[in-house]
Amino acid sequence: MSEDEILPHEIAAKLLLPVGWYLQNEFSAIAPPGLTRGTVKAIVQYLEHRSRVNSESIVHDLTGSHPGAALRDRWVAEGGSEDELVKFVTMGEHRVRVLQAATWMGKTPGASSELEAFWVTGGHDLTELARYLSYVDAEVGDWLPK
Amino acid sequence: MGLVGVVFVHGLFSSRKVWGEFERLIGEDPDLARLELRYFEYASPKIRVNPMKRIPNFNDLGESLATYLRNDAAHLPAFVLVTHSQGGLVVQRFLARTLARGRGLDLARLRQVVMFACPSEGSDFARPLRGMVPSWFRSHQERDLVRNNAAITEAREAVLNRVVHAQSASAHEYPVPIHVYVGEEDNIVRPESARSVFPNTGTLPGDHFGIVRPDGPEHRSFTAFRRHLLDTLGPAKSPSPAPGMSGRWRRPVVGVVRQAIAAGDRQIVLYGLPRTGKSWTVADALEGGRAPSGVKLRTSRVQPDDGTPARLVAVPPLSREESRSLLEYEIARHGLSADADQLLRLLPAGPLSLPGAVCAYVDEIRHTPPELLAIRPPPAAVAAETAPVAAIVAGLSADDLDALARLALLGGVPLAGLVDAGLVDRDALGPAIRRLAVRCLVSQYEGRVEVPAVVVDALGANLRSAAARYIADRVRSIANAAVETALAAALPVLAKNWLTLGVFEELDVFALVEQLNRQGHWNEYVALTRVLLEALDERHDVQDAVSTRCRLARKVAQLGNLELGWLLLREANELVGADGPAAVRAELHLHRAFLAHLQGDPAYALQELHRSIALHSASEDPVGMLTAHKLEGNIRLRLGEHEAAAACFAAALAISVPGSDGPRLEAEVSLAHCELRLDRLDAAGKRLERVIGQMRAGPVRTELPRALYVAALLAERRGLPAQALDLARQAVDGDVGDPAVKAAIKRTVWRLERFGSVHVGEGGGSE
Repeated sequence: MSEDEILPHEIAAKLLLPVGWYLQNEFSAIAPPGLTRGTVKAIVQYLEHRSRVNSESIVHDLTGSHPGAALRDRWVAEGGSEDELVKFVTMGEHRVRVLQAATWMGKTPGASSELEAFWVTGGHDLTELARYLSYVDAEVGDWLPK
Repeated sequence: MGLVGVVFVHGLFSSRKVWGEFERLIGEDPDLARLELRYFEYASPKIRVNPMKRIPNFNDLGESLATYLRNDAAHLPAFVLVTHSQGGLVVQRFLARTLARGRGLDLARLRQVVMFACPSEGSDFARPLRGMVPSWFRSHQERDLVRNNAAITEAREAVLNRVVHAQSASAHEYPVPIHVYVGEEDNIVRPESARSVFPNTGTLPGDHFGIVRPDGPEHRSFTAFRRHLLDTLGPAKSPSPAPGMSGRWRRPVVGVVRQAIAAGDRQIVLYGLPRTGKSWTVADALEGGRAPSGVKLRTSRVQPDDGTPARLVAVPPLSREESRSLLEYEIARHGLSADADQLLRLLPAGPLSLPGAVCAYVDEIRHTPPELLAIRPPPAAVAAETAPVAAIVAGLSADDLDALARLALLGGVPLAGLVDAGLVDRDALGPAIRRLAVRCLVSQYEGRVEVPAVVVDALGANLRSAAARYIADRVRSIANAAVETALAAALPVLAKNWLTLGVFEELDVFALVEQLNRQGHWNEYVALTRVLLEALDERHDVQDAVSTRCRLARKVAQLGNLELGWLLLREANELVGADGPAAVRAELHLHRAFLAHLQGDPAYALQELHRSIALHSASEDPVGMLTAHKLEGNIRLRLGEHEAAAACFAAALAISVPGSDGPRLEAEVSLAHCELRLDRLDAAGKRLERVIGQMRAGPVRTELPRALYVAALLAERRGLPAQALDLARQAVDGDVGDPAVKAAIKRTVWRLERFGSVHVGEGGGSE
């Protein structure tokens, strides 16, 4: 399987398990037309990279890291919007950190208010944010210690 | 003891020649090879023939002796003063004047005084001479010898009160053993005058001079004197390390002394408990064995507190590393094949912190296997090294003994923390700590108080147990309310101390561990559990050791240290073995499943879980079955298999286990969560209503916040935003022990307050 293989969006979404089904469903709306297998892999790698970074903030500059810069370059080269990509990975990171905090004691989830500020600054639809946060709240119940 | 000086002080009308026989016999005795003989000489003519030349009086001679010892004998780390006749009065005057000036600590090097035929109450012998010679012609010395001379009496009383019966070592009193001998045929100094009121006296053959002229090694004067010298040198079976070698094992303190000398300190006092190697430290710190001109080094068994402008250097008992280094050196010196680390493990820490005892132990293992040495009472040579410390401890007041025993158990915890935790009353313990510190029985660093192992040994088991019961009662009464941060931080250190001191059982560690866990002191929980494991391993309690390892593995894994979690489970596996009890093996498989679940490996988790269920089933362990079904439900939940998860929780609830309200309520709330996720809203609602009511009415409420949280999500799902927010707020206001649950509830409250109620179905659309 070549890194440059162009993937149908529905197949690509299935490969994006770490972002959860909500974002998997949303992915086809923002994915670049020439999306390749290598870019999907770069998204997963980038989210893994972020989950290991000891950062308080979930809002970040893609170009601040090698995996982020590599992802942005591929995404833009394949015809995607950088703003959409940033929004997508920020939402993905929020979910990952909430679930991590439900699993590991001492891990802190990113603040939802920070995601809201990012949302407002980017001029995104707040209803969409409310829906997404509701989805994460429902999902985290599957992960809470019991 | 290393190099020891013997300073001879002759008597009236005499000279160093009087010591000729002692000098010869000492030189021929190999056991006394480490003695250096020195002679304090002074002018003592019968009459003053030259009016231009003054004959010194006893005060002059006392001062002269002090000067001699400070300068000519400065290199001696320890010495014995031996006197004949009025030489004893010179020494008594020296002692009295030294103490009168508040320089008691200058006597730290003086180990013993041996007085032969000393006219402590004056002498009648010179009376005829006194009538023949004009008084101005006679010497002060001879005039002072008259019976009941006031100055003699004053000096004698001072020596008796401040030396012989000294209670402590300080500026104004200093304990030094004084031995007094009288001659059977002495017609110059009568026996009653020689004995005076000194407690340690003996009678020897010979007249006034014969008593210091033994004609052979069997002469009783020599045998008595030899015994005192050997006492000072230390036991024959306790070979001290070679000179110049302590720098290898006392490098830090030797370095401090050398730095002090290099920095220009002129007076340096090394202080510490007896037998800690102060003299050897001095010897090693000095280039060529001699102090630079003008530099005075002294040793002291107490911490000088008289404001003396001296550089004080603490010489604590050997650290473990220093003991190892000395053991290795001694083992090599004797050409033995013993292992220093093994000896450190086997032999008691107290004696091993004293250089002489280390040497004695190594000497002993030439004949006795270390394992036997460890279980027998310590050899006499070792006991002789620890005896001086035991004597100091035995001389403490009851209050100070209690304080010392408690400090031994509380050692290593910051005093401020102990006060904050309510374990220590600073006002009550503070003065005792100061008294004990002066005697070097405790050391203080970074706000902590520590009691050296050799002192702890001297306390004895009964005192330690009594103190342990007292502190354990305090811990229980405080912890019953809540374990505050200060107490939580102190508990692991206390437990470790108590394990070392053999009083671990007094502390109810199992209960404390659970309290730390419940109250979220997880780091302290982990630390205390590790000490508990040491105790369980020590007493070979396999079942508890495995069970405790499993619980600890679970906690450290939840805290993110999966590697340590797996390591603990491997240790538990080794303890159980393949043929261990089924219930114990089942618990081990269950915890492997849990760790795999955390690690995101559901396949392995389920495989281990099914092994656990099979073993639990075989051993008819309903609690284990319930727990295993719950865990499988959690694994299925994370996989998004809500139907399968619900079946697992239902299976858990089908098992009837008396007294398992907590786990059953957890399963109920999880099942309600599954029902919500499966859109079985009515079932979830009824279940939640029932369990919330049950928890509000009963004592087990740990799951109440999560139940209210699920109820809030259910209300949101039903389109009841106000009820959802109200329930979520109730949940967050409750006693939420788990921070993950708390964070989730707070996030939902914030969302409901900010955006109102929204529900997202599995298809992603909002309703």
